Amino acid sequence: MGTSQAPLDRIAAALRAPSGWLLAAIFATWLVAVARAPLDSMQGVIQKILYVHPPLAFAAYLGFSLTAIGGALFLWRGDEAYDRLARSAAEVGVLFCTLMIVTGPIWAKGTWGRWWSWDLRLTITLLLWFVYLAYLLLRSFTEGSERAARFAAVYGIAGLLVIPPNNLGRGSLGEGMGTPFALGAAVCLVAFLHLLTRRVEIEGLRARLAEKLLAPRGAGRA
Amino acid sequence: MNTLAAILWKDLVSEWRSRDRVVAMGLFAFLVVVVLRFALPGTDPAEVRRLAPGLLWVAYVFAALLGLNRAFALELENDALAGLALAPADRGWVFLGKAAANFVLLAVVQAATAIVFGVAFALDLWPVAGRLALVVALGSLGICAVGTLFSAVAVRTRYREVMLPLLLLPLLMPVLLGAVAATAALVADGVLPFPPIQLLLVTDATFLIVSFVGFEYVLDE
Amino acid sequence: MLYVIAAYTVAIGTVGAYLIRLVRERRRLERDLTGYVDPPSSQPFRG
Repeated sequence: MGTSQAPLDRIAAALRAPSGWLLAAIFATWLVAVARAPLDSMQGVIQKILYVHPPLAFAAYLGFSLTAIGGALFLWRGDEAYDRLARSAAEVGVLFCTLMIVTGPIWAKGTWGRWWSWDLRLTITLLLWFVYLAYLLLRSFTEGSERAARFAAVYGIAGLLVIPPNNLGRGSLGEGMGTPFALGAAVCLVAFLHLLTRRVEIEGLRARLAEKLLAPRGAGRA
Repeated sequence: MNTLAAILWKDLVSEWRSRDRVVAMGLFAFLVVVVLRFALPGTDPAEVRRLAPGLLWVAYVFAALLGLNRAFALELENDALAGLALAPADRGWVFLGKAAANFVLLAVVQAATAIVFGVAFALDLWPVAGRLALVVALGSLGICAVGTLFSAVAVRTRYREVMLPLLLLPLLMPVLLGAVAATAALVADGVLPFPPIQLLLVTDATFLIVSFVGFEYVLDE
Repeated sequence: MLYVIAAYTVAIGTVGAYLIRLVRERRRLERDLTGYVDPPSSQPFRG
């Protein structure tokens, strides 16, 4: 069946350039805002991690939500494009999740002097990371791409239901912290979106390539 | 409904005939308890009492993983997975039958393990036995629900014995959180606080629904 | 402080590296796609 220009691929292609430009603009603004943000009197410079760690968490959560939703839509509609979305969201999401896991201890070390603590927030981020990894491993180790898509979709839904979303509402921000924080969140979300559009496009291209491999008809048209 | 009873009966009867799963699970749990006890050599009794509830659930989870890994083994070995899929009934009931069988087997093992655990860790569990059974049942309900669902998934992957714990353990965190908290409160103070129970109830309900519906998509052929 | 710089560098660097990888992958796929429909004369298929 022709999967070449599914709505998903058209949307991804349309969003790619605009999101890229937006990303560049916000990124620059964000860096400036972070540099100029006032220092917290108690925590010092380490507090600036606030402008990168929670934003990464937002993107990680968004990623897994899209993975689960894509999976659910795939199970419901059977359209392979939804699975491409789920796959792509998982791969981009795990990147942000890993960065979140990496920056978390850096923040912890700078704030509390220990690399890790089992407080609820860090533990939930670790849990999300494990769920991501399990999802990706499940995809790798299942034989048959349609079955892998189905299994992964079920796991994605179960995984999403297990991650409590309360991790996102954190304490109040001090003076002057609102702008760099909001910009940080925007950077991460737009970056996620931009990377997602590229990843989805790649999946679409792979699908088209696979089609051509399976049904060679001499010199066809691209 | 009949499908549920039929599958439940079939699994329990075949288990009764060979008893291999229950014995393996029980023996394994027993060994885990012993090993855990040795892992805390000179620790003072109060500390041990504090750690005990978590350790009990470690033993329970290991036993459950062992049992769940074998849940579909019989069907797989005899090429009967298709038979399950083609059953002329909503596959959700097939799932419930399987999950119920797993639950029963696990419950038997858990009861025996609790006794051994009480002896090994010098804990008197009899006063709280009833409420402990409730907590354990709620925990096992969640474990068996997602466990059965993903056991059917894992059985079709490479490295299937490793795949099941990998998939299951992240999902089981809320169940363990609630179960260990409730068990700890029971063991320490003899009281059963509601928040962990509430967490268990919500998680169990969620898992049962997801697994009941999701099982449809997991059995193919 | 060093930690802050490390965190930002790692985050930005990793995202940037991934972006570059995606760009390269896409170019490779597009080449393969157009390369495949060329007349089957001299081009060995690049897997």
